[in-house]
Amino acid sequence: MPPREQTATDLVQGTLHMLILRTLALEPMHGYGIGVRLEQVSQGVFKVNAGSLFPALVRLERSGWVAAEWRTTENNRRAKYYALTPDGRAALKREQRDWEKQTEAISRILKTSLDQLA
Amino acid sequence: MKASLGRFINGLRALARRRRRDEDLDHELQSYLESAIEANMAAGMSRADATRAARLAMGSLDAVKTDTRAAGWESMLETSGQDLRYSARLLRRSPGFTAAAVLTLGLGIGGTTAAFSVVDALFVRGPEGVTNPGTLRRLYVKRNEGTSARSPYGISNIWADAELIRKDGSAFADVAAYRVPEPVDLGRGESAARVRASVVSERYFPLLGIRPAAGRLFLPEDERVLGARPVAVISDALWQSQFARASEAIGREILINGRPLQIVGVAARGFLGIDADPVGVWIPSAMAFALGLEDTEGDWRVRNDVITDSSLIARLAPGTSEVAAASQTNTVLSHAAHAELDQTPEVSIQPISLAGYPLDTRTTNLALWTALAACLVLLIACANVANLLLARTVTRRRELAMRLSLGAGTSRIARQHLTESAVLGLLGCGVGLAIAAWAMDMMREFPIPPDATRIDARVLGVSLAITALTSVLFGVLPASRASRLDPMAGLKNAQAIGDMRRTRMSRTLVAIQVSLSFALLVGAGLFVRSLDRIAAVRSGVAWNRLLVISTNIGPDRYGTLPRQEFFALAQTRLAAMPGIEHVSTTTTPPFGNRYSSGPYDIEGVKQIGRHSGASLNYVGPDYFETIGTRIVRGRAILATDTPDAEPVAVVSESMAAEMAPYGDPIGMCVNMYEGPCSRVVGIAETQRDHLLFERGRPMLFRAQAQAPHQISHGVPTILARTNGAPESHQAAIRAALQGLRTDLPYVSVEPMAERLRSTRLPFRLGASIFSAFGVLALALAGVGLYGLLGYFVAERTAEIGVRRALGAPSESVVALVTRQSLLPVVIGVVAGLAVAFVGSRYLGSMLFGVEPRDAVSFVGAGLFLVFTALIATLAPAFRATRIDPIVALRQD
Repeated sequence: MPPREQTATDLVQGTLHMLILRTLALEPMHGYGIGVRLEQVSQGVFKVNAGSLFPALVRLERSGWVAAEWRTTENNRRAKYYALTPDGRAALKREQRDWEKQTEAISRILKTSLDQLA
Repeated sequence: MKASLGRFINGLRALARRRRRDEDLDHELQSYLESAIEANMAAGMSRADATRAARLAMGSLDAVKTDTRAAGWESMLETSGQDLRYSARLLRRSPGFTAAAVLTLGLGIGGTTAAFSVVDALFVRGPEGVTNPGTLRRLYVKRNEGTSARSPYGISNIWADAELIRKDGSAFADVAAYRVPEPVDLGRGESAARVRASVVSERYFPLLGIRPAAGRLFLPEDERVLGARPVAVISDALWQSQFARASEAIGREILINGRPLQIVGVAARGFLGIDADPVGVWIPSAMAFALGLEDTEGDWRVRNDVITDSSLIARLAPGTSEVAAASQTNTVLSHAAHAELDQTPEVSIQPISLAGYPLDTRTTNLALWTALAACLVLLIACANVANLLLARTVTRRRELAMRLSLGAGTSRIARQHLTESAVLGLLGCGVGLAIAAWAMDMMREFPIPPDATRIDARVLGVSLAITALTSVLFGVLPASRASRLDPMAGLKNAQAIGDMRRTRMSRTLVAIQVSLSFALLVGAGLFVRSLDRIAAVRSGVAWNRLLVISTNIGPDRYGTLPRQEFFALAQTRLAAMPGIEHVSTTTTPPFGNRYSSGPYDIEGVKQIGRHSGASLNYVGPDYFETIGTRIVRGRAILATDTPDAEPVAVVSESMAAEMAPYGDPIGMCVNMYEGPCSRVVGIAETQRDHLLFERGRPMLFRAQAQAPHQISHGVPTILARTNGAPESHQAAIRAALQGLRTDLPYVSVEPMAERLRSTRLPFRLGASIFSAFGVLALALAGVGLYGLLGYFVAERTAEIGVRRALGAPSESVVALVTRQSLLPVVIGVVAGLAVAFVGSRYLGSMLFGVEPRDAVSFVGAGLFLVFTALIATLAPAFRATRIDPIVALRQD
């Protein structure tokens, strides 16, 4: 059964998975860290709340794309760290390629129509 | 693919460790919150502010948890589990409703399951062990002689026909003949047993695709020369019971009817022939004569004046249609011989089934009707439960509206309702299986193979499938209705106005139910009346108090007591036994198919026409008294009709009618076969044997004492008339006779009723099935009507209160309620009338002495239903008149 899509606020549908995978590609992180990192890198454009983040993480974990592990944080607290699995890495590559193809196509369409309008 | 498998496994894991998973999530969210607080404090907030900000950003902790849990597929199961618990609680809370629904479903499912399993065993599932039963056919060759057929089989020798068709080879891939299994003696003396033997042609096993479990099956040489190769093949079951499956059994000799046969092989495990009676021994056709199974002189397989209880089976050639095969067979048979008999062969082709012999359209139709009746009952049950559920939806309106307004999704509500239906369905299935087991137990009375009356995986699977279908059928309507409820209207109490749409739907369901019940009741009435008519037909034989006693005592072993003395002594002993009224002998007991028939003529009358054919029976003194056949005129055959006296005969009324054109039959002298003519001294009531529809064959009874030597000193069948149930004497008689001679083969003591069963079976089966389903339908319809009509009234309580308050007299209230409630019933009866009117026409061929449009059945069914409906309505209607207007109006 495919995971049910859920609207993530301020995010293009379906991209949250890719962004989480991309974030985790650099280093394993815990839930809060992922949210902060996404906000920072997007320069505040994407605010990911817990209600979207955790369901997404569960789905990724179920798909075997990320693996979770309890570890101690730098502040000496226990937190669940998520890391990319080899499957996840492959999936990220795939999704990224698809995304680039799509955005390229979309921007091409948008540009043509703009030129014509102008 | 791999990912989805992973998701599945992980979901299972999560389900298994649900507690840990939930704790895990709690910890994780806690840690998330703390991280957020820390970050906020690092940005310069106070601890309190930081905590509040973090909480605000996070939103409801419970919502996050729910959303997160819903991300896995297993949450579906979890909510289903909740639905299940919720349903169970609801059903427990209204035990009356639950019991009614479960019982209704159980009756429907049970009836359908039982009907299915019997129909399946008898008509659908081919005989066990046979290869590719789909292309196997039974051929019936009927020879039409002039205008009327003499018997359903006509005069023809199926064995000769089989050879002709097989040699031609264009109609079928293969053809074989076999004699319908008949009882034979196995062994001798105390340990003697009875098994069923089937005489088969060599092609029998190859045609059916049976392999040997040990040894070999028959070879062409085995059937070439009469009596030359005394061999036999035994069933695996016999191999087990007699030889414990030892391989030494092959090559051993067994005594069949006192004759040694060498076992050459064992048929494949599970194969017990293709008739309802299981076969223990197969014997090649060349040995039947030697075993006394067929006592005609010469090679009975090629004579065309021999009627044997045989069956013709064939394998359809690939690409040949039944129609083409039949017409080709007709051509082959009409070209070959029999020209002098002026017979037109007519072949009919039917699939092989255990019910098969003699499989007529009556039996096949019956199977279809049974299935149809079962489906109708199931539909009625569904309509009933759907209506009950609908009614409940209304009483649960407030609760549903509450759930909807608290944010439950409509799909969730619908799912919960369907879960409830499924729970009801499963409970009903359990009850249904118990009912089916009981019903099948009852059906053991009918000659169907024992494994047809067992609940096996196949039956279980079918009843579960039926249950699933049923649950959807009765559950979907109320579920969709419930989920479309308007929460606002539901919370305000709109009960007084009543949900018109629901009412209309309920009324439609009631009408459907009534019409289906009506059709079933008419069917039941027709069959019951047929059975009545059959019982009223005098068979001319007091079969219910008659025992048929036979033993295949051979001419070659005189042992301690010579054969003639044995029979004389046996009769004396029997007559002295308590409870035995009369004892006599006959060469051919009634209700068999072993008469020797042939032409006769009257001394002094030259030409008596072509119709002259009679069955000859040699009987002992007291025969007619014993068997309960009335002597219409003249006298019976007496002990004084000795060999020295003038040969005498008694003719049946049917034969007397044939002779009547030439004068008074009494006093005529009749020639038949060898010997001097015998003087007719009496006319006996016609024995209507074999088929109840026959006029009754012309019969000539001669005194056994005056018969040619091989008959007067032959092996008669003893008949004994008991004064109570014949079954209670069986064991004592067997023991008494078996003790007379130590080397005696098995002594068979069989109630005559046994022989009659197959003839009456279709009617009895039809009457029992339709009556059972009819009663069931009536009970269901009654319960349904009572519940629903009562509900209609209850729903209008407030309205009735208003009417009463405004001064309406109670009669007008009763009239109003009754009129409105009875409308769907009347519509249902009219619709049912139409259905039954059309349907009963197809029932016609299965009825006996009753018109398909029998007024009694139709009117009876209609009155019964209307009466039930009236009672169901009047009780609540009168209750309604007693409603205190104040109470009714205050209800809201």
